[in-house]
Amino acid sequence: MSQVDLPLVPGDVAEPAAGEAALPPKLTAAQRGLERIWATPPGWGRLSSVNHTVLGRRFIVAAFVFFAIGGALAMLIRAQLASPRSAFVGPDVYNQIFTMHGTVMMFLFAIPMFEGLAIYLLPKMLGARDFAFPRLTALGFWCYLFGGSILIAALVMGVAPDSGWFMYTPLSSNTYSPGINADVWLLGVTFVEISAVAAAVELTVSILKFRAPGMTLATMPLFAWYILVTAGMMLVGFPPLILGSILLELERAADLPFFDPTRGGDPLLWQHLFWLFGHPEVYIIFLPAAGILTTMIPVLARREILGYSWIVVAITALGFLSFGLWVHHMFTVGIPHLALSFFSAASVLVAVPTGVQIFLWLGTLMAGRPRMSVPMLFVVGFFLIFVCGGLTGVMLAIVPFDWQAHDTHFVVAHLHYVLVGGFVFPMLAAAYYYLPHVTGREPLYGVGKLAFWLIFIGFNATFLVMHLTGLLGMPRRWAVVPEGYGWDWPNLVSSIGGFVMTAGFALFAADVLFQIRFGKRSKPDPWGAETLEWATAIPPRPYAFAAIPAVSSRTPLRDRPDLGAALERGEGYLAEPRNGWQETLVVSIADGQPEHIAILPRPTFLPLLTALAIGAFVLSLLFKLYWFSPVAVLLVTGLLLAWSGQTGQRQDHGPLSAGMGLSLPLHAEVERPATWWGMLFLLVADATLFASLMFGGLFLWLVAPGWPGPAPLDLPWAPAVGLLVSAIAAALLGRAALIAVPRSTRLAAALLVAAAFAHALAAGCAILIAATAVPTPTLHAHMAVSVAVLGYAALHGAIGAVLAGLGAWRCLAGYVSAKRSADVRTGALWHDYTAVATLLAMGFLAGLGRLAPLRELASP
Amino acid sequence: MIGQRSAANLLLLTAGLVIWSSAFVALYAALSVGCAFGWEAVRIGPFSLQRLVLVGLWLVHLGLVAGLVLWMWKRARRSPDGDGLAGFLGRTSLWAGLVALAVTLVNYAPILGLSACL
Repeated sequence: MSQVDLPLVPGDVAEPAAGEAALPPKLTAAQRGLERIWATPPGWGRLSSVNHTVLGRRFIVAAFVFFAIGGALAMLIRAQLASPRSAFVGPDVYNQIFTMHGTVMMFLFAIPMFEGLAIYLLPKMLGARDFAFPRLTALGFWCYLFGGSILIAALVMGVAPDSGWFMYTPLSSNTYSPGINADVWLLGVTFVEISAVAAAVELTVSILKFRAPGMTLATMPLFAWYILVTAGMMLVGFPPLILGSILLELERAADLPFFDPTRGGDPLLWQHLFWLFGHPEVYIIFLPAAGILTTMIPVLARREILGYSWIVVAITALGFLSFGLWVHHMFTVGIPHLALSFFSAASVLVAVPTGVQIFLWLGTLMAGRPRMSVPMLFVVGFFLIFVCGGLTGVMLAIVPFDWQAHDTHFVVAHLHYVLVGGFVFPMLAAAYYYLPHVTGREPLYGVGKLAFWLIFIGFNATFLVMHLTGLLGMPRRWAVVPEGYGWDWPNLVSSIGGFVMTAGFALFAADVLFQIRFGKRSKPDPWGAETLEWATAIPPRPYAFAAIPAVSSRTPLRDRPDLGAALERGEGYLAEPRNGWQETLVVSIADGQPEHIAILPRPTFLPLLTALAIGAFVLSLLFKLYWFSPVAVLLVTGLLLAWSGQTGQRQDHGPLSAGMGLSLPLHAEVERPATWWGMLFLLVADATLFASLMFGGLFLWLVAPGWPGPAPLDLPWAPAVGLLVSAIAAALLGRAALIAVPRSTRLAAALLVAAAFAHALAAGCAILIAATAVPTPTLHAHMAVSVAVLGYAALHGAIGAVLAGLGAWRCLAGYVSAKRSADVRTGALWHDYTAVATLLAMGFLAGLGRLAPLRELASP
Repeated sequence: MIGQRSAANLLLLTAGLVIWSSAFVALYAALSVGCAFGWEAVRIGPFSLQRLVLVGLWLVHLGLVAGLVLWMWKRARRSPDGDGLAGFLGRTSLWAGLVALAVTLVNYAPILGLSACL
């Protein structure tokens, strides 16, 4: 069996020194072994961490730092608007400030904050030692940090985005934003989006597969259900924005006219793509916060949550309905009233599942014996503020009202009631609730109460009054408050309130820092919670659980109050460390039956290096150093391939003991390990991006002016047939390799090499078609869309060639055998998808070519 | 047949709402295409072509959700009661189907009254 060199972990068995956080007094021999296997190396080695506890903490700390930056920008906005005709900052700087405030809060605070919370908490709640793809978690963190840093560096240098956080074209197009400000947004945010999609794949697979034995879908903590729905929404919701950003950057960098109405483009396409992401985004932010409320409220009320099944149904409905609302941001752009009614009705209907949750939380509190505490104060603050935000949301869902209030401060007030009430207050409640878990110390609750009241009063002073400012007609984003409209005093009150709220946040930050330094040691489960995250040591050990528990209900700590101590003694699964392997259990999706043992990758610098290489690619595009971009792509590809060498097994092990009399195979020896599921969900996101691209093409055909274009698109038949045949051949060869694996891995490798060639040929054909059929893609949007579709096919062929080549290498290097065929099986998913997508792409291009002349029959 | 403790129940949980989504896309697309190509001006009896297409698409989707709910209702009756996994999966799928039926009915009801292309 393979052995791994383990690092020495300083202090791993030491008694806690005076003043240190509460740690288990002494580790057993097994725990010492686990500690050596799972620990993050010290010094520079910290940058190689792939541990969920470490990375979850880093996400949360980074998100709070960005929150502070976003908050400082908000104070600059309020300082500017405090008095009429203020000369505090000029309009150019003001545009950057409000754009960056929105961008930072949405992309660099809210999403990473809940990701961090989920990364830190979920494996512990689910009874797993880590997530399915720890290196992906690390890559996500570094992409987030670097993408965010690019945005903040641009702000410091005075070239930050300045077109508003939703970057409407044509304002963000080259004509009206000629500098790099808009490029910073498009590239920086896309960089962060990679992090979000990586997290979505990670979360989905981990929730479905990485749980304690016996934890069924019916006994899984509700927080996991919330995050599962959220991750599913991210997989479908983020690709439209990623596509929109790529198209707009292509327009800005290469003059492809997707959004230019003088050449067959349409600015409204950007609005559709942005809000296809943007509105689900609100619920993507709210649902994790609601999940954490659903976790805390039963504990604070000392009663089990009411309506577990109802909540699952409500959040499923919410996840879908939230995709039917996007046009309610576009009620004033001239869409037929009947279409508006669909979106208006969906916007009202979405309040119903939200209301179901609120009533179930209130019912739980009423039926229980709630105890007033700082987390509970913030929960009450959530109820009061979020419900008001929801009600103004229903008002804005009604078309005639929206026409009056559109783009006024009323909308700004509404969205802050929703987002601060629905996300920031629950996060602050969670911070006070979980700080003992993270630090092992108790907070200083008196300070927390004062912080709450400052934030609550300051928030309402700022934003309750802002509704009136909006109803009095003040448009959002105006750099100055003109005199004579009655807008002076409400703006002054809002500014005063804003500074009071900031004082509250500053007090909260000081409270947290003091708690980390001076707080008393906490009891193991200070709130008397009954879920698994409180069965770990606090602060948690890197392996989370010394042994993995068996679970039979939603409240494992009520079933067995001494569960934490029993696990520390090794009474559970996988208690004995072996071979330097980071082991955790993988279960069946629905009923939580143990299926196999996953060996997770150990600390590595590869995620950091890969993120740096991706960052280099982004910067090469930003500074238009296009000669370097292919070099950066090669670097990224090489580094990603290097990940492969660290995983898998070169020999069959057969069933191994998992403890408690159970024997299970390793992940390398099952048909569908986590990587197979990860690829499947990645392809869901990929397919959404492709569907969005086809929607974009059809939208322009139907709606944009200037169609049909000046010249018809004739697909050259020879390369077109070559593209289709080679893409299908690659898929068939991938399947043939899978069949060949049990007989001969050499034959499988040969077939995969052939598949790689077929993919490469397909990519070449796609490029040839683009070069011959679309010589001037800048001429018209039809040409630009065609190039984008062919580029999509070429990119998938190129990636397919790399994946097939990698599969061949792994066959020859001994990672594949009759039992260990998952590598080939996972690759086959990509080959199959690429064949289907290529067929659709060619069908779409042929169809669009035939549809284009019909536009002459349409009304303008 | 989907086992009562199978992971495919997650697909059933979302099936009705997927049909609602399909209705949304189909109706929005048909409305946009119809308005662009003048279907409102084409009369078929007392109705316009536009209205007939929209109502037809709506009824097809309503029928699909209703059929799904009926099937899930029969299936849920065979599931054991209580908080067990099979009962939970059967119950939540049925409720989600009913929710989908209600929203498919309410969300697109304006088709019956509002002018199509104004």
